Amino acid sequence: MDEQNNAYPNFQDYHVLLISPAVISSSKKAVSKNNEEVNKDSENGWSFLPTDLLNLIMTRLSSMADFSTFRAVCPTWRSLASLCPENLAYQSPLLLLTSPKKDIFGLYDFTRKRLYNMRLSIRTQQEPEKPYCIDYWTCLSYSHGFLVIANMPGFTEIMLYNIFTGNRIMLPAVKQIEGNLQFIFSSSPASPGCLVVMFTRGSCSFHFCCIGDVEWKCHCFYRLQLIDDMIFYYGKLYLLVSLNQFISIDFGCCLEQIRVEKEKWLSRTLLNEHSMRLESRLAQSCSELLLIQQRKAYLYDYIKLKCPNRLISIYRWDFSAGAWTEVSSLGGRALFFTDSFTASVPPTCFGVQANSIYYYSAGYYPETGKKKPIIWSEISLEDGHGTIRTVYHEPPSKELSSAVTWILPSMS
Amino acid sequence: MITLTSSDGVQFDVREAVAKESQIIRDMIQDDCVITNIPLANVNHKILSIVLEYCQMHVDKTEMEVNASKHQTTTGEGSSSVPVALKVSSNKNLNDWDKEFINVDLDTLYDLILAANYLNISGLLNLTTQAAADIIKGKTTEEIRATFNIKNDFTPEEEAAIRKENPWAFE
Repeated sequence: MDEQNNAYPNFQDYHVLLISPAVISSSKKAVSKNNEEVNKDSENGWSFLPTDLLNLIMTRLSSMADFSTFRAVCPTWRSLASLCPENLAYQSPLLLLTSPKKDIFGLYDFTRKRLYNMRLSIRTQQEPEKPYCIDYWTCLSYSHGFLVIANMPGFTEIMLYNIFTGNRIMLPAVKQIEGNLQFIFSSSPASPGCLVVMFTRGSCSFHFCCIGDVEWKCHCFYRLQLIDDMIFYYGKLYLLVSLNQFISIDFGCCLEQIRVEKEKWLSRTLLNEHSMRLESRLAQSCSELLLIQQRKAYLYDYIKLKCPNRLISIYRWDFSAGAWTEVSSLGGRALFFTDSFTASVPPTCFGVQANSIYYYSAGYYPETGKKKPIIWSEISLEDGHGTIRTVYHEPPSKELSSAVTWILPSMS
Repeated sequence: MITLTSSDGVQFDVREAVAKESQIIRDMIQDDCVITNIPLANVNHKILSIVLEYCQMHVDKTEMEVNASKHQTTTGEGSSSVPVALKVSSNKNLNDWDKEFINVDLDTLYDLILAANYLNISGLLNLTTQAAADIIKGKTTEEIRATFNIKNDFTPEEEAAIRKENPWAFE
């Protein structure tokens, strides 16, 4: 713990000390030197520090804004600070906030209480010849650095927008909307052969396509199993359906068309008597496939009376035994989830603890139906049974009032 | 005592413990125990004196702590020559001292980073690179270029691409 503190001291008080007027004025003098000297200086100056030393400085920038600024200083720094997961692993998680009426998004760095505005100028920048007749865009999900956004009203077009590179990818249009759409990807959408699955919790079918396809294909469960959650694990699709039954699905190609080839039932056993009162999530942490079961929020009080220490249970899938085994930690990683998003990251970034779960759910007061302030829970598994710390945040601005998803820069 | 000679020929006589804060010097001494004079070709006397000030301080603090804990375990009495309060606060003091120590101009900071790397003094390398990162934090690109005297040699096309890439960082 001490070591960590030394590596990342509280920069705010530190900052004031360092940026003394003397430093600033001396640097201004340096700039106003004649050109020749400036050139000479810059040849062995800061932009030409040995790469490993610049890298040490860069990994100490723990907010996305500072990191992006660093990238934009000069070509040397830019080539060093590439947008690879290793570099982005040091950047703190952000919450994506939206405005209910406008195409404005806010990225909120909750560890620093800083808000970055983001405007999607989708109609004007890249394809001026093909303007989208839309009123505004809404954000549905986030994965691999891409926001999944859909045009409103009507929801017919779905686009992937990379918030780090500005890359855009169109997905097939959706004819009908039912419930909260969720999207999962077999790999980064920018990589070739990426498979996209679109589903709604509680539905007995899901849609899928490859990036570049013009329409979605549908797969139905004829025994009317309802989908609890789905995940791509090493390129293969795993589903949790009604009553914790576990299914794997293989996709194959037929006449260059992607299709479901094999549906395999892995486990039909009920996990425990409380299963009906649990919210179940699939997640990947390192190389483990995990099942996270959380007591449904409105049952907290009831459960606390019955089994006060067990608000959350975690199981790993044992591939050789074909069964779930309970585990007591996340293997040192931190898990983030929302209603439409699950991801685990190493706790290298600022403000994130190991073996903790960060859970955000759209908050409403059940009695009044009124919206809660931005609220999430940090559930620490360090003590063996999950201590929940609920974190409330007033929205940083009036316009941006609802949070949609976590943005984990290291997941890009 | 060991004599360290800077690149511009100035000699510094320091205790072995102080010199050994540098991993590279520690290795040299281990390989050849009769070594007494070490020339340092990449560090001038101005920077070397600052580096040695850092090493001296850190060695002194560590020794003071070791003494204090030894004293406590051997005598087991409250009449320790090093007050307990001093020992408790020494870590905090050292951090404060580090902060004050690293409050230097950018040219010196630059040379200190290179020297800490060359001499392989991990504490000093952490301190200096953190200081550089702290100077970058919260600044705009233009401010960073002005502060560090870096020329903007992006082409206009690259510049436009950069702006498109992070729509949220430039507002």
